[in-house]
Amino acid sequence: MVTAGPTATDPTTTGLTVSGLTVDVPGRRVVHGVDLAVPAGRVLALVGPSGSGKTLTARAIAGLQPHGGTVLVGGRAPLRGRDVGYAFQDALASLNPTVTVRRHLTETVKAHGTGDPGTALARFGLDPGLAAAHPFELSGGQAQRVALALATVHEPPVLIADEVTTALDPVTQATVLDLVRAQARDRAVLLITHDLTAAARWADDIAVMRDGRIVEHGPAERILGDPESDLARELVAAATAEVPPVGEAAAVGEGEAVSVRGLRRVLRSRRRTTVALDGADLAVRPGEAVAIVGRSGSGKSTLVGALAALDRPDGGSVLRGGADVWALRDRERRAVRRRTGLVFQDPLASFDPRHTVRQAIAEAGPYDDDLLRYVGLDPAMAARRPGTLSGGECQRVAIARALAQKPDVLLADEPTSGLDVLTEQRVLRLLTALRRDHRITIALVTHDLRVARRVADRVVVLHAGRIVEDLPAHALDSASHPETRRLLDATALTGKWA
Amino acid sequence: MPLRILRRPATAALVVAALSAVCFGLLDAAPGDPAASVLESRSGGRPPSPAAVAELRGEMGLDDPPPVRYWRWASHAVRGDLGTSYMSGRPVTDTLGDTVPWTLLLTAAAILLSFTAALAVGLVAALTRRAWLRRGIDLLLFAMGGMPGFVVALLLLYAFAAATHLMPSGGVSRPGEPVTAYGLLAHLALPACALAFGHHFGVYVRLVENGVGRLRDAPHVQNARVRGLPRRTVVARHLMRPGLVPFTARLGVGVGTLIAGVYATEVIFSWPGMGREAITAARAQDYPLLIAIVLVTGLIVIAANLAAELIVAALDPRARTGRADAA
Repeated sequence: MVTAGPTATDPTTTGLTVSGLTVDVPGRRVVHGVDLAVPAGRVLALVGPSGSGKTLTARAIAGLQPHGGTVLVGGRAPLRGRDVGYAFQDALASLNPTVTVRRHLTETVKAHGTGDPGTALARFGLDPGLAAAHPFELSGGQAQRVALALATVHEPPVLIADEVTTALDPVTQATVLDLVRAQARDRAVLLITHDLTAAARWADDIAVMRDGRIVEHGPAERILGDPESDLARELVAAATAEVPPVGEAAAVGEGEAVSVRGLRRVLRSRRRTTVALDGADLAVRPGEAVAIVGRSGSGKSTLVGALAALDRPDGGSVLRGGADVWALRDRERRAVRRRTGLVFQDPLASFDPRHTVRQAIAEAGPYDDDLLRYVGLDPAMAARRPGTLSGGECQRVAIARALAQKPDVLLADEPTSGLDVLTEQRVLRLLTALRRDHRITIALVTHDLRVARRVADRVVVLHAGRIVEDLPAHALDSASHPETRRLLDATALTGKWA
Repeated sequence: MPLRILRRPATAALVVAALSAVCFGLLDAAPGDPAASVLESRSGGRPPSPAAVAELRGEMGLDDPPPVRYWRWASHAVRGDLGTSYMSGRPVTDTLGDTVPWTLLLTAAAILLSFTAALAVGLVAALTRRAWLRRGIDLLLFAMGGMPGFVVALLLLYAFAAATHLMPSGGVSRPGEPVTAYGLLAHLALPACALAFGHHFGVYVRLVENGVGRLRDAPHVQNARVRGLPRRTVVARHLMRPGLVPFTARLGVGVGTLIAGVYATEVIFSWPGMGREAITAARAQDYPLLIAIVLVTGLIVIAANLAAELIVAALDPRARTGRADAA
């Protein structure tokens, strides 16, 4: 049951106190009596797998969701909009595309009669000149910081940051969370995340949530060092799991399954030209798993498009089994594409919502119940539609679909970045099984070095369109390139780990 | 942005030139002989002799090759001389001067009526939580969707004029009386309604309803609510402004559709606009008048499209920078 943290304070003082919070969706109760206490000046991370009710709890606190129980800010019922600042998961979508950043900030200031737009922007390390920009002119990291500035411009005593860094690369994530952390000087911060390592680094207290209940609540050091609940133990184990020794998973063959030489790709849009890949060289041996790591904009996804023989490069060559795919005839190139499995970051978007799971798989190759069993799903799911599946189930269907076309190469673009750690582990184990059982060559794009270590034999780091590092996964800690060091620092298990 | 806006009138001028040329070519290719029509009407319907026709064709310059005739017409037209009507012998510009203001008045009234009503009904449909209200609007639009403008016109005539005598049935004033503001408004009501609430009306309601309804639970609208903004601001700035972009973008096309119905409406309600002139001119192959009417209609549509684009650009900054996807 609920373990009240030793930091629980007198509710008449500042800070956020939640007691007996319940949330119902039509037909059932999904949050069952949540108690939380976030004193001013501290950061509480609410951690849990997808579907545990974290976001509904946060939305209820912010007044976006009808709820039972009580929410108090500084001992009083909060005024909607005044007392709780809320930063959304998808920052860009949470801003009105037709008005400027300044307009967003000033309308909030006007509604509450307090606050200063310039200060709010500066607080999150943004240039005041950015106020003139429209949301669609911002980068992902900028949009997230604008959303945070907007949530705090009127100086609310409570800030809720709901998965604010899920879509960001680790370096940007660290910057943004440092800034969120700094907010705790003036207010109570509730950080919603599925990432225990982020919680460990940036939170003072952690509340672990599952199935609409808080299963553990206490100081971060205690939960990380001595987890009491099963879920907390699982989460800690998943975050600190040992890297599997190289060679255990599969025998790596000789030669090259897929490779690129001197690859150059220039993206042209109406307003600017970007060199996405600038002479990249990469060779993947049969049965090998290579992780391609880099920040947003480093050219990772462009490289996947090239490896899949989908985008014609502006220079250099793409080789499959030694043959230049762009020298092949169209029909042969299509055959190469059929032997390439693709798994995307957002599996749901890659399915036709009207198709059933069976139809989605049958599009790629003959459907077989064993495909679903292999990826760990019940064949009864074949009749369901992707929209009714969870994120992890969806991603496993996507892998089953890729398997149905009997690929020799599997390209996975951020396959786990939207998933919680437990689901992530299952998907990563499945990828390792694919290599062992089907001798599939895997190229995995990720911005998360922890994922890279777990799945890959070899890690290449992409920076500004070039490969700046290429070393065995177990030797990652000895990497010397500054970009690799930055990525390592950003994902390191720092903070309160025992 | 300034460059893009300057480019529009230049494009519009090109469109007008192309329109006039195509129109000229089409009329030229149409069967029949204007000279024969003119002689026939002068003689009260008796077929004219071939010699007389040939003589008149020469006088009218109809024997010159089409490019020569087009050039002659166009070089006069740019100086404001649109020629004289074959049938009445009046300068075309005089006829236009008498009729165009009436047509513009009727069109403008119908546009105003149609679009404000669509906006209102669409917003109600998008924002109401009352299911019966939404269903009622659906039913109404469904019924209207099956009614072309002239059917609406006849229904209105029957209901408000023939059966009840609540409204005047046609013209712009009572016979023999001068035009007054109040009288004009009363005479304008029925034709404007007939034109405004044709089968296209439902399309605009849907554009408003879908555009705004789609955003009702969008993250940026939730964000506006969670920041405690006044409801007025949430609806006007965060819901309507981005939500009305699809509707506004269609306004230009909408004016075109509406104008296509204006001539029939004018004839039904004896409105002294271009409608009657257009129909008689088409029957009599009165080319100078017909081309002028087509051009004026084209100009109105082009102006409406230009206005719609400017409004979209004002609403949505993405349209200004030429970003394709207006979400």
